[in-house]
Parts: sequence; C-alpha cells; structure tokens
Amino acid sequence: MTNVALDIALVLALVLGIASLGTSRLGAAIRYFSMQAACVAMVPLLIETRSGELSIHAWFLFAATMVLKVAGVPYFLNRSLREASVRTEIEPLIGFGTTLGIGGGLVALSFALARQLPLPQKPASDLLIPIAFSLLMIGLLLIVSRTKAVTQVVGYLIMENGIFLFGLILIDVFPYLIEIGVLLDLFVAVFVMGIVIFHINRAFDHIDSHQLDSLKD
Amino acid sequence: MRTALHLAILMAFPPLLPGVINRVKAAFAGRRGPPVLQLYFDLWKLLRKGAVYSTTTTWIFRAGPVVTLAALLVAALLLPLGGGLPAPAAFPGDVVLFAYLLGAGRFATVLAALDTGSSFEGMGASREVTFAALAEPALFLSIAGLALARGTLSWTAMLSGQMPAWHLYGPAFAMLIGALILVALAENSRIPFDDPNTHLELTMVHEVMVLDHSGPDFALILYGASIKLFLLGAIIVRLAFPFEASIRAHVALFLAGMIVFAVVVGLVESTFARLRMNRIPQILIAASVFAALAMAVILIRVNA
Amino acid sequence: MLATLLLLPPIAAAVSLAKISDRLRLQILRAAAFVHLGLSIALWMRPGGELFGGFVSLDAVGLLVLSPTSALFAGVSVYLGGYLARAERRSHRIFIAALLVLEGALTLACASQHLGLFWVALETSTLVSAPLIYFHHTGRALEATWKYLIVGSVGIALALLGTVFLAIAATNPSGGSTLWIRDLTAAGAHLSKPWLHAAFVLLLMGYGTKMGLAPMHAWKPDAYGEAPPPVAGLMAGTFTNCAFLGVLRATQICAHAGEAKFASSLLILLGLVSLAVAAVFIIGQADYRRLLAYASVEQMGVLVFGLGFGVLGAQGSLLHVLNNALNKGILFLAAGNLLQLYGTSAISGVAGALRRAPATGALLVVGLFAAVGLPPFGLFISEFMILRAALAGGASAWPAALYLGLLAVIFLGMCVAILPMAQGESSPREGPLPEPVSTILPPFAFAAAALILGVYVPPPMARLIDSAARQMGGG
Repeated sequence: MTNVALDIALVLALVLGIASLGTSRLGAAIRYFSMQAACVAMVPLLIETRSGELSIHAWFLFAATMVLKVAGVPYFLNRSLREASVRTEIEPLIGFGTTLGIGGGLVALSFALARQLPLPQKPASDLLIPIAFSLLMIGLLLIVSRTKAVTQVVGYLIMENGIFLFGLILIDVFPYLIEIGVLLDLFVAVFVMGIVIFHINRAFDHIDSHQLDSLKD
Repeated sequence: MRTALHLAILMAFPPLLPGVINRVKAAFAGRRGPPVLQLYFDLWKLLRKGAVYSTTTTWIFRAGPVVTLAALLVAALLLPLGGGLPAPAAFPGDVVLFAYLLGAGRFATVLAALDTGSSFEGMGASREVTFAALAEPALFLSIAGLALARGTLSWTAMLSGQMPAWHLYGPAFAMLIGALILVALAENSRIPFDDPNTHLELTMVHEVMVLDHSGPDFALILYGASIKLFLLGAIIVRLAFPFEASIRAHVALFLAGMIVFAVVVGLVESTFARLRMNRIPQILIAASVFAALAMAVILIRVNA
Repeated sequence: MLATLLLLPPIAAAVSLAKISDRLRLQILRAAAFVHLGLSIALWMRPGGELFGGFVSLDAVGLLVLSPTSALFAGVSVYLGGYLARAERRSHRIFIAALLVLEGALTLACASQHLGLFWVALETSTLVSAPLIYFHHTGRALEATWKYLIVGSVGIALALLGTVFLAIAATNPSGGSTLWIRDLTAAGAHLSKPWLHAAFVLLLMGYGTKMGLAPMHAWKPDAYGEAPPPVAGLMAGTFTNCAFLGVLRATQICAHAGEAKFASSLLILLGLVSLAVAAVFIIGQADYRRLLAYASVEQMGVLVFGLGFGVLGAQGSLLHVLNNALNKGILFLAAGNLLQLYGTSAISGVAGALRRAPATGALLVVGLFAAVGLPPFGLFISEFMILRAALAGGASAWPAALYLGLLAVIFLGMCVAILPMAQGESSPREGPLPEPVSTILPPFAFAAAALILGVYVPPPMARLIDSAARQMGGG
C-alpha cells in the first residue's frame, strides 16, 4: 500500500525546488524554499501515519522544522533582502531556461542514482531517496549558477532539505539534543550569512557575490 | 448508436468552449460578455459569406484551413471520451499519430501563412513554430508517462476504464495534468503564451497567421481551433476525472468536466498577464521538466 | 576534569560578552586558555572518564588532536595582548567571545564519540570563525568571509550527508541504526558496502573542505590571507586538525569494515593532489599570508597521504598533527608581527627582517626550516615516517616518489620566497622596529616544542600515538 499523502508532500517539495530554479525574483525563491520546508516538515509525520502511531520524535521534528525553517529562516532572509533593496536575479551565470533543463537532467540522474543504492531496509516511500538526491543537486545547481548571495543561501537551504529527507530514513539515529544542534546550526548559519549579506551590501552597494573577485592568485 | 453520439459530441460541442471562456473573462472584467453560443453564430455568418483571395496566393493558401481542420478531425477520432465511448478508431500507437496529426495541422496553417508572402505573417509563422517545437517535448513526455503508467500506446486503453493508477501515480498524474494544461494553453494560443484577443503586431503569435483568411476559410480555422482546444481538454479531463458511470450519466459528467476545463482556462486568462516573448520558452521548458519528473516517478513505480 | 574542560570556554565566552573592559576580556581569555591547557595536560597523566552517557569521552586520537589545539590557544591568547594593542581600535567583545566558543567547539569535536555530535561541534566552529575572519572589517575580509561561509557550509553539508549515509550503511535487520563510533567500528563487515563507500567519499569531501584539501581549498588562501594572522594561525593549526579527526574516524570505520583499500586509494590521491596544488601556487606567490595558506594546504595533503598507508602511515600522520599545529603557530604569529611592522603582506614589501626585527626574523627562519621539514625539527620525523610507510607496503613506489618530488619543489618555493624577507637588504636609514615580548614569546615556545619533538618523542606520547594508529588498522 503506498502512502499517497507522503507521495504528494515529496513531489510537491521537488516541484518547488524546480520552481526555485526557474524564478528570477529573490523573494519568490525564498517563498518557494519556505513552502518546500513545510512539505518536508510534514514528511516525518506522514511516514509514521502508516504504522498508525505518531511518535513524539516525529512531532518534535515537525515542530522544530516549522519554527526554524518555515518561519525563522525566511524571516531573516527577507530582512536582509529588504536591507539590500535587490529584488531580482538579473544576470545569472547560466540562463534560467538552461538551468531548468540542467535541473531536469539532474533529477533524472538522481532517480538513476537512487536505483544504484538500494536501501538495506525498504523506506516508507520509494520516492524518498530519489527526491532527496534531487533536492541536493538542485541546491548545488542554484549555488553554482546564481550570482546573488541570497539565492546562493537559498540553494544551500534546499540542499539541507534534501539531507533532512535522507535523515528521515532513520529517524531514531540522531538523539534529540543532536537534532536540535543540527537545526540550530543551520539557523545560525543563515543568521550569520544574513549579517554578512548586510555587510556586503553596505560595503559594496551590491549583493552580487560574483563581483567579489578581488581575492585571487 | 454510440459512435453516432460520440461523433455528435465531437462535432457540435467544441465551439461552446470559447464561448464559456469568454463569458468567464467577461464576468471577471465586470461585463456581461457575448452570448455563450457566439462562436456558432459567427461560424454560421462566415460560412454564408464569400472569400477574398490575394492575387499573390496559390492553392496552398486555400488548402491550408481545409487540411488543418481535416487533420484535427482525424485526430479527434482517435480520442475516447470515456468508458462508454471508445474512440471510433483505435490501434496501438495511435497516440503517436495523434501528436503528428496536430503537427500536420499546424504545418498546413504555417504554409498557408507563408504563402501570402507577407513578412508580417512570416514572423507569426516563425514564432508559432518556435514555441510549438518547445511544447512538443512536453506533450510527448506526458504521453510517454501515461503510456508507461497504463502499459499501452493507444488512447482508448490509456484513458478509458477506471483509472486504478491514481493512488499509485497520484503525484505524477498531477504533474502530468499541470504540464498538459501548459501545453494546451500554448497550443491554443491562450494567455499567458499568447492573447487570442489582441491584434497588436509585435506581440501576436498565432492570430497573425490567419489574418488573411476570410469567409468560409476563416470559419474552418475558428472551428478547427475550438476542436484543438476540445482535444487537449478532453485528455486533461479524462485524466483528472477518471470516473465511470452509465453512458447517459457519463456523457453528462464528461461534458461538465469540459465546461470546468473551459472555466479554468477562463480563470487563467483573467488572472494572469501575458508573458514577455522571451519568457515563453522558459515556461515551456518547465512544462517539459515537470512531464519528465512525472515520468521518472512513474518509472520507479512501474518496475517496483 | 573533562566536564571542566568542556564547560570552561563557553562560560568564559558568556562572561566576556558582559559589559566589561577589553583588557579584562583579554585576561579572561588568557586565564581560560591556560586552565584549558593545564587540564588537557593533566588528562595525559590521568585519562578522564565518560560524560553525558558516553557522548563525550577522550580517546587516544581525541587527546592527540586536543593537546596541540589547547597549546595553540594558550600561545595565541598571550600573543593577542601585543597584537591587539597595535591593531586598530575596535571593541573586542565579539572577537574574544568567538575565540572562546571556537575553543569550546573544537574541544567538543575532539571529545565526541558520536558522529552527529562531532558534526554539530565542527559546524559550530565553522560559524564562529566567520566573525574572527571579518575582524578587520575591510572589503577584502568580507569577501573572504563570504567565500569561507558558502564553501564551508556546502562542505559541512556534504559531511552531514556522509554521516547520514554512514547511519544508513549501518542499518541492522531490525531497522535500527547507530552513529556511535564504537558501534560503527564494531559493526565492521556488516556495514552495507555501497552506502559505506558513498559515505566515505562524502565525509572525505566534506571534512576535506574544512581541512582545505585541494581541490576544495578555494576558501583557504582568501580566509588566511585576510583574517588577522593569529586567527589564521589558530585555524591552520587547530581547526583543520579537528576536521582531519573527522577523516580519521571515517577511515577507521572503513578499515574495520575491511574497506581499507578503497579508503587509502582516495586518501593518497587527494593527498597528492593537495601537494601538487600547493606546489604550483607556492612558486611565485607574491603574498606571504597566502603563501602560508598554501603551505597549510600542503600539510593537510601530507596528513591524508600518510593516513593512506595503514598503521605505519597513521603513526606518521598523528605525529604530523602535533608538528603541524606547532609549526603554524610559529609561522602565522611571525607573519602577524611582520604585518604590523611593515604594514604590508606583500613578500616584496618585506626585507631585512633579521636586521630590523631580529626576533621576528629569527622566528621566520626557524619557522621556515621547521615547515619545510629540515632535520632537527619534528616535521622531518613525521614526514620521514610517512615516506617510510609509503615504501613499506611493497606496492608501487610511484606515490612515494611523487610525494618526495612535490615536497622538494615546495621546499624550494618556500625558501625562495621567505629567505629574502628575512635577510635581504633594507636601506640603512631604516632603524630597528619594536617587538613586544608578548608577540615574541609564544612563537618561540612553539619553536622550542617543535625542536624537542624532533629529537625526542616522550614515551607516553609515543604510546598514545601507537595505540591511536593501531585503531586505524582495522581488525
């Protein structure tokens, strides 16, 4: 018996990842990430509805992700965006159409890759692994193909969502404290990056990480 | 008897769709809008008129609308309308023929436009072909995804009967429907790809090609366009409402579904702005990517 | 004892965030760093127990990495007195607190027995180093900080993925899994091979990014070139060693699973690539801080290269961890003095250091000799041990030959760049430059330690290195 709700959450996360590849508006990219994080936050609950019992651990993951990733992180990113008064990614290193195409290719690759790595235990959904791989690659693609610092942070976050999905295969392997540590580290990372973006904007009048090129050999 | 009913729906129903769309748009704009049956009146009016032909045109120009309509009607014969109404013509591989018939129809229209020798129509033809080339992969990937899921290459087998596949392929089908709606909008020159109401030279894609046709020829073109809308709509409706019922209830259900489809198109047209020309390829690529994603999801399940 | 060691730095950090004078903050840093050093020396005498249900416990490898870290922090805390006095005026509130949190996070990393906890500690240390690099608030420092953050974050994310993969590899038939280092090594051959391979590659890439192994070293010259030199020294001497600890753990697990061959081929390859990249960029380098950064890439290359040759190589690598820390202490602190004395980090802008600032000049020469592995210094011993291990296996001699050749090239490149800075001619009118004791003493202490390690490895240390290296051998 497949779990339709779980499938929908996973596929929605993937679609939002693809959408963030196609958008030029930084605000939209942040919104897509936030919606994606919400989909991903549901996954631990949806995995467990199959066995009937919802563990405290799943609720904890859901709540922590909701608070930190769905609300907290976008709040900080939007704030540094406001400070920076930059709205759109104007000149990506790779065009939007091309990135979309490459993204599609990477997703196909992820599905192929997932086949090469059969899990020791059957996961809750056979889409879990391929979609986790896909988010990972979409995030990396965003980081390398965009020039705005904010979009790169979004790429990093999407990548992190993919890793989170991997982590859900084995929900109990990370004790609570360490899970909190992982999530808090992510949150602080975005916080620190937000501060750096703010400083970049003040020092250079742009947040174009591609123009940061005075350091080289 | 059933075939007759099928053909009757096929021939008579399509011109209703643009009427519904226009009413929805009018309602959104706060107008009353033209009657729902406006296209039928227009067709009747145009058919009684004579045609004017430019002296520079040849028989290709005259053949264009006829060939286009013929291609679309043949394509329509391949499409089932639901369990009770299988396609009048069905054989393995008819999905490919269907896609190529749509292409053949466009080819005839484009040739007719080029035949006028006007640079204006040439520009429209080039745009039409460019966007069609980008919409084609999305259409084919969607068809391939469906074919994989149902394990058949015939529309009748693919779209009729209960759709047991929904609980297995739900998210994939949702993405396929999304991709097909984008293809339908692009193929039928609707917003956000093209605006069927505008006659502004710089932005027109499809309308520009048919400006030189008049009288019965133009009636054929309008009728053909409504059939094309009907065809892509029917696929989406069958996919989205995979229900079966007694034949009378079924026909009612299907037609209601088509009306809903037209309303959705109307809503899209009222709420979205027309895209800048250079953004169109990007959206079509996105449609292809979604269709590909759907196929990937289906692939994983098919072999499991 | 272990608890004090862990809790001391964060508590001191919290205190230094209070509204107190910068002088007091510095004293707090010094006090905390020296107590920390004392405690970690005490741990050599009497190993501490377990804490927090076994999550935290110092084993042989952890202690080996922790000790130089602690020493370097103590030395830098002394050094900062003279350095900060001459730096531009700016509140040191965040700076000192970040240093202390960094020390705490690195201590936790050394002592964690759970790979998840290790990751959290290392990620924390990454984040708190960002304000340290940005201390001077220049545009270039900002650029370096951004690159460091984004490259480091992606790297650490890959390491997290590798950690998860390791857990997947360790799934047992009942569906449970583990990230405890002792369980993972005990599971041995039961680990799922494809997932273990993927996990090792990701961990090597992820923690390798933190170490600054080529080709993931892009952030390193920028960060070390723009951070205040004492911070760069701390990062090169402590932070990278702790990241190496992650690679060590991964290798250990691989070895116990009978996959030592797979791991060592990757380690040797990455080590040689790092050496080659360092050699290319050291030759003709115009900026001495970036030169030192590439020298650090080289040392990291030596570390993983050595790890690729079984127990013998691991012994060399573990000794190299100590030497690398001491060496970076000498060189970066000397570079900090030069930067403040000459006001430039261009190699061409510094000449005659031996005459104008004799102590710093001497440190520069000693540091250079220690860094390129000249005999009386410890680095010679560890690099020689690694070479011996590379030749011992009876396998192809190519890696050893490449290793030796690249080290020779780097030797030449470093000497050509640094010797003119120390000797060279400066115009006779330029007089001697002031050198406060606090900026001279710590690097000299490191130099003395490096010299001692070169002629005499204390028996307890030898025993520790031996037992730690044997864990790498599997079985």
